[in-house]
Amino acid sequence: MIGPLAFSTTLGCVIAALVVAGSAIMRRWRWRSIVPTLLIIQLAIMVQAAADAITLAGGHRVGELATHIAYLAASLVVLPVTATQIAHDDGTWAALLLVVALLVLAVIVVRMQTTWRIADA
Amino acid sequence: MREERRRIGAGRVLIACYAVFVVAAASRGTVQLATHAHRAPLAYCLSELAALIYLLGLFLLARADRGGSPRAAALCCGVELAGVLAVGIASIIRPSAFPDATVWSHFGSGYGLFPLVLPVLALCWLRGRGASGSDSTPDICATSAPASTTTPPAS
Repeated sequence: MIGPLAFSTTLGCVIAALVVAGSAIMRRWRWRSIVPTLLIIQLAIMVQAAADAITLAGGHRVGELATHIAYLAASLVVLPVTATQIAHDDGTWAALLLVVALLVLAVIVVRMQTTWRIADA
Repeated sequence: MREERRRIGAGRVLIACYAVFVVAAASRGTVQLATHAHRAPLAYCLSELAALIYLLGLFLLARADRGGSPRAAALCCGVELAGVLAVGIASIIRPSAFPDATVWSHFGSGYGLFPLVLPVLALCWLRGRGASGSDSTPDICATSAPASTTTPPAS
């Protein structure tokens, strides 16, 4: 795990979720406006996954390998799946769905850091 | 040819939440049972039971969202709520029976009490749906959306 990248991703997800929720409440939510942010977060997740895969292949041992890989796989699919659902939908419930996805992703990244650190301890 | 899309409603958000809990509860219970089942078998089996109930709720809510009867989904959500309350109370008055936490321990405090709130939200949505025959939580931005993205809900 790249610690600073994981922290930035978590923070980015939470801030993006707050911005989306705020824009939905103010009736200014437009799905197109969040696409660049989602792309950046997804890129960060993919870099993180690649770094994890390389480190694991290099012999790094984690306490719960299966759990960590499951979180890793989930983190890669959450945003693409949600994005395909909310695309072209400027409704408030679409915004709420994205808020849920971003918060779930933030929790997954935090949990990934936990499962990674077990072996470090 | 242009594909017509249904707008996302409260039902889809609830279904997404149920999908998250299916994966979370099933993964948690399976990993715990596979790696250290002897430590707290009752707790881990309850997590698996919760996963099954969430899975059933997911399918029934999806069916209700597509215009099916909300009764079965409401019954499932009622069972789910009863389970959360029963396990939550049991984990408080008899903590020795739960050496390790389940998804529903302390009313789902490990998940921000969301397991307790989720069936209540689902029941509220189903109640409105049963009364109106459609999604009773209309989008407040619906008037600003392009008409081509909306289709009437299936009846």
